[in-house]
Amino acid sequence: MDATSAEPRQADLWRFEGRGSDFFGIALVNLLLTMVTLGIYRFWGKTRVRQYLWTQSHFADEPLEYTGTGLEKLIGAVLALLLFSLPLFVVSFITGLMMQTLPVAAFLLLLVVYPALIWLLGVALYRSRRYMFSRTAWRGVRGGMAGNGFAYGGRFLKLTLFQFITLGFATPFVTTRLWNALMNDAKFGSLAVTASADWRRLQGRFLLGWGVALVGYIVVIGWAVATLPRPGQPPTGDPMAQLATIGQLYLIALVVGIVVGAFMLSYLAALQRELWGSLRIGALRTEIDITARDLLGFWLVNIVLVVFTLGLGVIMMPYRIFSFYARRVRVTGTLDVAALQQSDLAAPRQGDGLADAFDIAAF
Amino acid sequence: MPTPSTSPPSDAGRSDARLHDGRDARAHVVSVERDGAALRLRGDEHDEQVALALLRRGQMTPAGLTLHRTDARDWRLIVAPGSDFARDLPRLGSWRPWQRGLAVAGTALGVASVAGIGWAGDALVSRLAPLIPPAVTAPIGKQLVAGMGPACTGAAGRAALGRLATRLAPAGEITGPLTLTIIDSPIVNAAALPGGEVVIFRGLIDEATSPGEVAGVLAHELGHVARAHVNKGLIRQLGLSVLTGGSDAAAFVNLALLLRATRADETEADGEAIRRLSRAGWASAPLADFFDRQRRKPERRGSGIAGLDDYAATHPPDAARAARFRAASVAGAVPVLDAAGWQALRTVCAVQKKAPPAAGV
Repeated sequence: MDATSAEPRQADLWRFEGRGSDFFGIALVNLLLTMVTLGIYRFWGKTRVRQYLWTQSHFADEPLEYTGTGLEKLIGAVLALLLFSLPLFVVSFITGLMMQTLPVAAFLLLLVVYPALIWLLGVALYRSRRYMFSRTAWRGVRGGMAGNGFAYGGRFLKLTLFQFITLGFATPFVTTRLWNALMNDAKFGSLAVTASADWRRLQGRFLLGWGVALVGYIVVIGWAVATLPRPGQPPTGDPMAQLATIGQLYLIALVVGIVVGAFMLSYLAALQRELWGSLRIGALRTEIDITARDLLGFWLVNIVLVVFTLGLGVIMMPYRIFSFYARRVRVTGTLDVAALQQSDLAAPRQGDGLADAFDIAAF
Repeated sequence: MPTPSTSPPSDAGRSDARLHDGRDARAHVVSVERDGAALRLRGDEHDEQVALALLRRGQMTPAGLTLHRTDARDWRLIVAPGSDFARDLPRLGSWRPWQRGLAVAGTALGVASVAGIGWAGDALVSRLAPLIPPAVTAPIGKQLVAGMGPACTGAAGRAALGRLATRLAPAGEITGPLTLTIIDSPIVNAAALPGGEVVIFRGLIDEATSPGEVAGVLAHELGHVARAHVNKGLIRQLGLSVLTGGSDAAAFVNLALLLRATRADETEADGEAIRRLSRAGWASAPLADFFDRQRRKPERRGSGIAGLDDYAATHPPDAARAARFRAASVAGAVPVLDAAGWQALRTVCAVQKKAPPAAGV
């Protein structure tokens, strides 16, 4: 019998052992093969990337396994092209033609098309997550998601509109609601995943950033109105002074942006801590140790990495993003392996083509 | 943590392995022994034979080599890396010969069709171009013309231009609609747009020293219309945006791309221009003069219309083209327009000219 059963433990059960140099080799080969095959290889390349990242991730000293294949991703992408990209192209082409002759009908059509696109984006997010979980195994036990994503798409549309109407004020509410909705559908084998992220613990930090952004926006607009010549009026004074005025305006906008960013970093770090900290998998709990400083360092290094390699550094982004989280996550609690039964959820048969079409997968 | 580990094969060809049977997350220690064409697994809860033909080699981890079963997707057996029976197993996901053949054939077909489109693409596009119905192209053209600026309304001037067009392209000769518009803009240019829309900018008429030059430019643009070159541009863009997964119809009609006709198309339109001019009894030499002047002009003004620049930018004016027009010019040509007609054409925009145009015109 297995000695891991029902043994209480507060130690961190999660370990990530990936190495950037190993990943770079994989990513470089992927890049070359993708170029040589006019892009077709990228489905296999993505599979290879995930296989590496998953195998380097250990839960209770045992590596995760990625069971997705390149072929199913290719099939998913072809389906997404036929069922999504092509119809969308036709619809937007027709709307373009109608703009000339039937502007009202074209406007009404767009009123249907745009919400439908947001809904589809939600469906794509859900299904991409479902595909990833269903292709993740530990000791032969699969993950999965209980729904098909259509209901989540509806919720995504509703909440996104709410966020939009409130000028972003409701962002913490919307973000945590969506995370909870997504993760509460997830399962690891027979174990239910539950998420109970609470927006109230985040609203304070967010409002700080939001308020600063609002004030900054008013300052920038006010400054612009005060210093720039009115439209229609011929510009007066010498051109150098005008240039200086515009430069000043850019400088102010930059300073405002940096201040808002600093406040928002603190919110974004708190958001990650809340999202991960509220996650339970059976009797296991996760938490993540991310500070605003971590996030700042992470993105600064990313920028340096891409700029100073003339863009080649982009191929390291999947690793950078995955390892940023995987190195900071902790999993504690107990797992009764005998009680962890195989998943009874049906696994999707194709890859995450829709998410691919929306270009939303980070790794 | 004390998970059971694998042990190297013992003397009797028997070794310990770790089994995840796919029912739950427990790890079972089993002894593994090769038994003919099968593998015998024995443990606390397991005593079974698995045909070697069902087994595949999966990934290698520090714990050992993971074996998969083709008939049970969640079943995993982790054996010592050196196990002799594991060496000959096919890799997980490795393809059978017929699958490999299919993949090779598919790739070859794909490469061949890409190469074929590159090679025979223009011929294919030329065949398709005349088939696009005007109902599709007309709204695009109208939209583009409307976005270029105010049209000149001088009735006598437009009538004069109409006379030129009728002479160059007699009624019924060009299938589909044909609309001429003079745009009140200082750009020195003319363009053929989708839906038989031909636009001439006031700058070009101002720049022309004789009606023959305007007639030459018009003949060239009518050549583009007659040979459906604009539709070819549309098809190329459509194909491109489908291939790149683009789905934004607003970006669909890119004026700059649309007007960048291929060299072959330009040559073809030149031929059409010469044919039409000589049929009308008009000289093509003035068009050569116009080309030469454009070529010598150093500056290229921005037009203020996205995707559109001066004539020299959209019609590469090389010496060979001018020479061709000169050589083909008919002797004893008849005048293109009488003095009154020419005067009317030159003042076609005067009716609605409001503010003085930018300096230099």
